[in-house]
Amino acid sequence: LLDRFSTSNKSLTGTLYLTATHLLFIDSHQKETWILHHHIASVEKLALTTSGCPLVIQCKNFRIVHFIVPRERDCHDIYNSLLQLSKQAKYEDLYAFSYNPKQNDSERLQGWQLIDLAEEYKRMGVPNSHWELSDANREYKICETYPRELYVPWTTSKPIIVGSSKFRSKGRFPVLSYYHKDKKAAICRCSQPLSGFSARCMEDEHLLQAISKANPVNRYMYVVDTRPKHRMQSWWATQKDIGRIIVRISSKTRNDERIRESNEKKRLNAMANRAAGKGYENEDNYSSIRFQFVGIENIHVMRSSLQKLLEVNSTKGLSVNDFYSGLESSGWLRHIKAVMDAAIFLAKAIMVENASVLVHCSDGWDRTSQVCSLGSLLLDSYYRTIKGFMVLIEKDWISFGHKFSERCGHLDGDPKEVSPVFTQFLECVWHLTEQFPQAFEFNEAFLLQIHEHIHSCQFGNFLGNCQKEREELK
Amino acid sequence: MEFAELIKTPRVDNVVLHRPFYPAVEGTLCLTGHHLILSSRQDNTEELWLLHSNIDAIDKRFVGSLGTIIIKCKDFRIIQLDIPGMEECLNIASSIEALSTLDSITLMYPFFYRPMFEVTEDGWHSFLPEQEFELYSSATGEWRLSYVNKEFAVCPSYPPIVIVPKSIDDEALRKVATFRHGGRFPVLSYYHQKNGMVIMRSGQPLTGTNGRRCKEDEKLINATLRVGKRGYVIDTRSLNVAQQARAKGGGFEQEAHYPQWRRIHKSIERYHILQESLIKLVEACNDQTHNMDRWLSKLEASNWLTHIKEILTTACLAAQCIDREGASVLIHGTEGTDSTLQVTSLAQIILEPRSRTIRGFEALIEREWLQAGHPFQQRCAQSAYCNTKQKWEAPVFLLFLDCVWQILRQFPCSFEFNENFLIMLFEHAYASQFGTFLGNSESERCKLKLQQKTMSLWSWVNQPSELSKYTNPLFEANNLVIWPSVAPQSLPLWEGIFLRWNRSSKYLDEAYEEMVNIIEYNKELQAKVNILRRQLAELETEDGMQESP
Repeated sequence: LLDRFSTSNKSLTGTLYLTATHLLFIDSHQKETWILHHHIASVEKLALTTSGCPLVIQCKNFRIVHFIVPRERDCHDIYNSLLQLSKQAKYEDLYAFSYNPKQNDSERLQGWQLIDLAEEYKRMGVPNSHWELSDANREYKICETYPRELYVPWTTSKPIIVGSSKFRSKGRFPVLSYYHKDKKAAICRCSQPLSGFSARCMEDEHLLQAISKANPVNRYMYVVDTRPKHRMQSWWATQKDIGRIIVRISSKTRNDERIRESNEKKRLNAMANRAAGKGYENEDNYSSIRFQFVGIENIHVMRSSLQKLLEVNSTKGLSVNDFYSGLESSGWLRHIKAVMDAAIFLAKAIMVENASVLVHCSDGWDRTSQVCSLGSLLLDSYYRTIKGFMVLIEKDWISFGHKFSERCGHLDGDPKEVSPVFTQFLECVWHLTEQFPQAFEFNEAFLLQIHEHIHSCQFGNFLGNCQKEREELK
Repeated sequence: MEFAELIKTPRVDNVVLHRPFYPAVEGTLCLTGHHLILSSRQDNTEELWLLHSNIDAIDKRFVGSLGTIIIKCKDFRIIQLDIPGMEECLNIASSIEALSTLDSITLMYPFFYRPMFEVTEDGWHSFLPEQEFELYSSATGEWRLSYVNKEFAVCPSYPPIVIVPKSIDDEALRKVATFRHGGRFPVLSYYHQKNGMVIMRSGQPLTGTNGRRCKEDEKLINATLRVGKRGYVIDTRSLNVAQQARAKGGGFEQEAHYPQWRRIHKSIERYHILQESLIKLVEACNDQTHNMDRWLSKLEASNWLTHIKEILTTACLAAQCIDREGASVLIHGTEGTDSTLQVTSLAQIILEPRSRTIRGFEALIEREWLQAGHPFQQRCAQSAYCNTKQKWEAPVFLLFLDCVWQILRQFPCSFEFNENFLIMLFEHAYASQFGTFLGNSESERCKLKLQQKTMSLWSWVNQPSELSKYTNPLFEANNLVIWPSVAPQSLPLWEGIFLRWNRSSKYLDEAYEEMVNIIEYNKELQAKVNILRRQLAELETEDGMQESP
């Protein structure tokens, strides 16, 4: 085992054990190093050297360990075993299902009942004269990735909910995330509207109207699109172009029978998809809303940003200038700042302007979760207590369907879905604890523990991708 | 008093003061010979009491008949004064300019300052060389105090008393002084109790292009070596620069003449490069666009943290030679007054726990900076905002304090003083009511009769009421050698100095207060526990005695 950062570059010899759940290294001083298989992000075998066969293990909690295994055959065996053990195919194979602390059933039940979201909504002050609990999604019939209990503006009828959910990506229509009792303003969340270049949805417009009416103080509300503006601004222009092209092509098709299937028609299909697909609210159709783009990049950008950051950090003997250039080109801190800025905008909108806010990104479960939860944290000191923070995560992340299993790579799935979205949120919270040391009941160690366990799969909270899945997995 | 001539308008009413973290306030502005004062006559305090010597640069602007003066200070603060009336504004501006650029040191405030506190300890006599030597002499008979420089005739930048090997007499010292830049012959900087190894410092050897040698110089530094052991010469210039120095009469210790010494070159920047670095850094900190990429690239372009890393690495190297290798070290650059002193003093912080106590640190600054002849007057004449041509200014001392802060941050329980102590020293080095940092050497200070005519900073700081502000509540005395990490990740920007006026430290200060309270409370409870335990023990023995027949 080679120790990376210590000045004396110690290496320790010892014995490596592999169990069903962990990798265990005990060195000559009897010191134990445990690594959970679930924590392993990648295993790499390096070229054979005179001292043996090197094995590099990179973990999801950013730990990197180097082993030198004396015999190549052993190294190969370990490598293969680790590859298999770290990439599970089924949920049932994950640690949480076999983890058995000395607890009986009632204690286990108590653990799960610790966080009661219904209590939390009551604490916020809903339901009340402006907001009510809706039954529409009780059986996950409207939206599978939303929780059962959803709060909507008073007298929002079921048809409105159904209509709006059809108009929103993945059926994630606008619902309440946080209600500020004193200001009577609300943070709501949803996903992008499937606007297309001509589609309108009366139900969705009605719902947004209801949300802004539910705020007795302020006439207008903000719609915060967390995506970068430049990408979206060109979108409307593209829509108009697509409109023209479709008209042209359809007239061409009428005149020319011999247009072949392959190219033209495919292109037409793609354009039609795009026209029917993603977009943002057309201000002309929605009265009394004000737009705000807060420019947070998507999950793929975040994934490569983290990759670059880890590379910079793990390079030894870097000069100060190389370190800072590397840091700058990774863009990691720029992204953190973008999330923080968005949350500050949210908090200001509610505190200073008394305006309600509706937040969305594309699917409403990544950047939306970040911005809503961080914004609520800024506004409400309850979320800065230990219990409150757990409640916040359970509400805005777990119940609202942030795809933990896919984002953290719990199973051997699509690597393009892996992204450090929740990690960024934890880092933003950490920055706040540094700037306001006395405002938080918990410390850095708490945040680090949570981070360990989103990857560890030791407990059931973060398994699965939404509430419905978790219930199915029991 | 000449000051009256320089003050065109001593007083203006209805001036508005804008300063960081406070709302704008209106009051009366007064100009004295040494201070700029503004008072709104509320609360019996003045909102502004600024030393002219703290002013780096001023800008004037006019909107109609309202004049605005923007004052940029050496401690990086920026203040704005709105002055009604163009004539008053111009008068104030030119008065400030004249008063903040006085040529003669004897006109500066320390000569006029009358202390408002009772002086219980005269800081000028707190750290006398003989007393410091006592601490070493107990462990070795190999060193002696030499008074050869009593009249400052041998070396103008050295103090009157230096420590040299016992076997070298004063005559030899005179000869060695002719061989070293500025007459700065090798003297003892630090004696490591654990193994008797030493750090010496000097100026560069004047070998020149002819390869001149000086037997007395060789004898002097060889006298510090144990039999059969070698020593290290750490040259704070790159090999190239050291070689080029020969053309100007300087040079380095050649292997042929110094066979028992191994030379290591560790380049540390100096002079105007450091000053430019500071200017760029302060500009980056004041950038209001709040753009992350721009911040990171400006920070990198300033190279400030690179200098920190260089200096700390060299100091660690020197400390390693002493502690790990058990070898003596000679450190020099060109003149031996800048990077040399950074390295010797930081090495002592690493090696010696005493340097991490308040008195020990004060003694360190006295020895390794003030008496060792760092030209404070020249280096601290101007800071980051000054736009007039700069010659000798460089933030050498600030870099040293920053390095100390880096180590303090990495080892928060090993220092008796806290960050505020370092910030206070930074402020006083540039502008002060005390005479400690005036002048460029002991020789100048004697000529100016500073000891008689001015007050020492240490007299004020070492009062218990002041010390309490600068004491580190987490301090736990230890005997360790502490090795700081110099990886870029470990060297953050010193916010306490550079972002001090950009971001309120209110929450951090409150958290610090809370921490101090918790530790105090803990101590009280611990004391109570001890008393109760003693009482219990007494009661038990009483019972025991009563039971026996």
